[in-house]
Amino acid sequence: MKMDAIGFESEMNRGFLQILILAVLEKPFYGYGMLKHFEEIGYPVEENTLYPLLRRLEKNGWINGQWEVSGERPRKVYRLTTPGKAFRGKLFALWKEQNKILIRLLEDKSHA
Amino acid sequence: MHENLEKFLEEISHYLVGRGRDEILAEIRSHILEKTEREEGRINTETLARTIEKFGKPRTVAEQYAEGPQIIAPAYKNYLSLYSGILMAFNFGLLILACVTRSTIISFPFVFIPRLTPLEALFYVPVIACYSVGLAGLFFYYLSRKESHLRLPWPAFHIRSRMDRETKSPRFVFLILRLAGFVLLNLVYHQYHSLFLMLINQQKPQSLLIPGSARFYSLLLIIAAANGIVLYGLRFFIRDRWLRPFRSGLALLVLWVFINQPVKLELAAGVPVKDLLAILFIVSLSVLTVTAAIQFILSLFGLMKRNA
Repeated sequence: MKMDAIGFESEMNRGFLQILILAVLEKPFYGYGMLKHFEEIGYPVEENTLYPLLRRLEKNGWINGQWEVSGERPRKVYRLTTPGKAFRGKLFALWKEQNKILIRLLEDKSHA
Repeated sequence: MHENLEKFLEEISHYLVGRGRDEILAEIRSHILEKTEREEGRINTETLARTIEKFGKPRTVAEQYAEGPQIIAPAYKNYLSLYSGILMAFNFGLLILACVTRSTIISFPFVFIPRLTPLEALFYVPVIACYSVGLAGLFFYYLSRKESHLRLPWPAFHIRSRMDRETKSPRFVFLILRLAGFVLLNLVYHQYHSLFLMLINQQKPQSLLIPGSARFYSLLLIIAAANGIVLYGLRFFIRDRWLRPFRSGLALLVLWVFINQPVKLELAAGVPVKDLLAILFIVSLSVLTVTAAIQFILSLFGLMKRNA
């Protein structure tokens, strides 16, 4: 039962993290920088979760990662692509709609 | 070059599949180096070891990247166990046939069964099991890779209509038990040329019947057992209401052959208490016949009730 709850939570977090990545990629980020940024905004993410997700989003063509070798060591910097921007818009709209339904439902319950 | 980091990356690479492996490893390397430098102050074997430990176990790390089609698509997993079982039963049947007929059986592309003694045949059973699961696994691996929506035959027992609920679902374990019993019958017949045996003074078992009778009635029993297995196996595929009356009818037919004795039932020489055995035989046969007849009549009643 506990394992189910953990699995369910991580599934939800994964979905939320995908939206979050698309949201923060308004400006370019590399993996470690993104992790630090998430920590600062109060949503710490494990590196093992972030990198595979970045790869998945890249494979779908919503973000684009390019190796930059200007610094001390090569870094893969991610940017939002044009299809990614369109997809992000759709996701935000969907999320807002779902959020509205949930809030309405909770309000109805509290009035009942 | 940092030996512990490279070793860690190499270990991850063992579990990574698909294209982009080098890029994944390059990103992990870059991340670990940067994290170590920023959080530990400097990069050396000890500081790297600490970051690596926090990063996770190589297999866990690689599994996070696993995506795309699985080796066998989840949709085919039920099919895999069912089809492996069917193939195993088929090959098992061939093994028995090869053993009884003392011949080599080649059933391309299914299996090659050499001429085996009953003991060797027992050792061949795991080979057949592995081979069947392997072949079915390969087939479903191919289907999973192909990502086509192939509709495979599936036994009807998963569609549980009201009629289905009235008849018990066949169970695979019972089929295997029946098959095991069938093998045992064959092995006994192969060894003693009779299924009707007696033990006198703890010596080697001897046939109760004369060779001609023993052969005929033993083979009759083996055929009846084989029929039972085939009919039971059919229930995995067919939910036909006629199956039960047919099975009971067949049992009655076998008993009818026993009662009519086309080959005279004659006890072997040296069998003690012949009269007692004859009475036992008549009583057993009568009980079996009455039971089979009751079953047959009940199944016919059931059939009429459903039609009503």
